[in-house]
Parts: sequence; C-alpha cells; structure tokens
Amino acid sequence: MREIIEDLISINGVKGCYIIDRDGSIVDYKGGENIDENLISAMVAEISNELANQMKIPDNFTISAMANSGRIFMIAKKDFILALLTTTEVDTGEVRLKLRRCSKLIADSL
Amino acid sequence: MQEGLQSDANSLDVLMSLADLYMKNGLVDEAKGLLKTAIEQNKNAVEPYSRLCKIYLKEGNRDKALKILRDALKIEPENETLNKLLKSIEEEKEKEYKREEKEKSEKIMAKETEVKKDIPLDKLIKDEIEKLLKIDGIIGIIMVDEVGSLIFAELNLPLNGESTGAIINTIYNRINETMEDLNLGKLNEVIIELPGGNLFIFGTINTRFIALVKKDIHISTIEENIKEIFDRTRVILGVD
Repeated sequence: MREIIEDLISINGVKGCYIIDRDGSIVDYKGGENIDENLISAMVAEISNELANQMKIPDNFTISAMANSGRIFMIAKKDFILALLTTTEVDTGEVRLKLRRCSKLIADSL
Repeated sequence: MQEGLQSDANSLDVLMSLADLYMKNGLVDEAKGLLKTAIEQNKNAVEPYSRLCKIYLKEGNRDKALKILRDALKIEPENETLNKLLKSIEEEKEKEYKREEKEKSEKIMAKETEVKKDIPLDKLIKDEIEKLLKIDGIIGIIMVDEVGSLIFAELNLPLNGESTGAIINTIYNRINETMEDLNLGKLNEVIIELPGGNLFIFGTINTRFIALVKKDIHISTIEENIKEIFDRTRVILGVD
C-alpha cells in the first residue's frame, strides 16, 4: 500500500495522497505538513455517505473537483476511498488514469 | 563630436553613454540612431541591441523590440539577461492576447444579451439549455441556487430534478467548504463519474449548473461545450 502511495505522490503536482476507509478514518497517507488530512477524510466520508444514502450509489464513483488554487480527486471502492490533493497544474488525465489503476491494486491487495 | 565618435571602432562605451544622455534629454530618435550605428560598428556586442530593445519597449513597439532582441540572441544565444527579457516580453504579449480575447468574447456576449433584452429571461435560458440538450450524450440539465432550490430542470430521463439538484448541491457545497478550509480558493467545477453516467457541475457563488451526461461520452470532449453554455447562462442571469 505504501508503494502505491509513493507512486501516486510522485506524479508532478500531487501534494497529498490519502487512503480512507468508508467511515472516514485514514488508513494511510502521505502529504505536505501544512495540509490537514482530517479535513479531506471528513469531506470524503460525508460525500460518499450522501451518494450512498441519497442516490443509492455506494461505490465505484470518481469525483474530480477543481478550485482556483488546487484540485481534489477521489475514487470510491467497496472498502475504501483513494483521494489525491493536487495543484492546478497537474495533468488531469494522468491523475485520473493512475487513480483508477492504483485503486484496483489496493482493492486486490485487501 | 558624434561623427568623431562613430569613426572610432573602440567607441562602443562612448556611443552607449551618449545614447543614454540623449535618452535622458528626450532625444529618442537621436539615441536610436546612435545605437543603430553602434550595432553596425560592433557586430558582436549585444549591449546596443539590448538598449535599443528597451527604447522600443518604452515606445510601446513590442514587435520591433522582439525583432532586435532575437537578433541579439543570434549573437549570444545563452545570454541570461537577454533570454529573461525575451521571456518577459513574450509573457506580456501572451497576457495581452488573452486579455483582448476575453474582452472580445465578453463584448460579444454583452451585445447578444443586449439584443435579446426584450425576450423573457426564462425563454433565453431555455434556448441555451436546448442548444446543450441537442449535443449528443447530454441527457439532462438542472440549475439550482446555492441552497439547492430549483431554478430550472430539463431532463430526458425519469428523474426528479428538484431532489437530484438538491443532493448534488449539498455535495458541491461540502467540497467547496473543504476547498476553502484548505486555502485552495473557490470551487469552480466538479465532475462526478457514476456507474450509470457522469455529472458535470459548474458553480458560481449563487448558482449550480448541473449537466447529466451519458457514460460513454468522453469527458474532455463535452466539458468545453457545457462550460460555454454555462458561461452564457451566467451572463443572461447576471450572476458572478
């Protein structure tokens, strides 16, 4: 799991990588000192609950959120959510592709 | 005195000093003439090119400044100062181009809105939405305000626009809150890829524009189209 995180964090523009369980607890992460990982995990958990309860979509969804000074990407699987925090200069295509591949690898390892 | 200086092959420094003096006294054409002479007499010196370039920039003649700078870089391609100057001019040129393009497009949009001012607002929005719904793959549009109240919904599938808009608005607001807490600025766009299709959400301070798109449509292909109509709708509504 650590190798997967290291692989994702090595992408140009990725500032933080987080593996979060469905309750919002952080399983593993690597990110900058100034980033509060709890803010990200809490949001991820709330959103996945909202989609599961209100739209009956518990997993297998991806969210890409673009703000003025940064981006958050997340992919939800049955047992976990993989999230990335990036700069705006990041290659979106590369991130999304790697996010999919890495989430599969994590799912297979669990 | 000038003739005497020009005949001296070693007079580069003097020519440059004199050109500076001319500039200080507002004799711009004389200074340019002197620097051109300095260039002719000292083929391998980049200083007169650099000064002439700066004079052209002061005059607002960026194209001439770029030409002279590129000539200088033929002599010293690795010259750091010249390369920095070139980069800053090119960046400024690019910025100006983008500014002009933005102004042009805003003028066109404002003009179109002005022409259509007698047409009811809901009709104008409906026209824009219909354009979007004609695009292959787009199966619905929902527009809500910042608290999730429905402004508009046009759906080509059995879905409740009001409740779907409210749920998506909750998600958008929650992400926006986190972005702000993380000092990442205002949220502009969210793409949610679901097993049955994709959702594109564009937001302003007080509106959310949601497009429902079929799963098999490539995201980047359709994203620009949705953004364009969103921008037009935003102008029609007069929202930030």
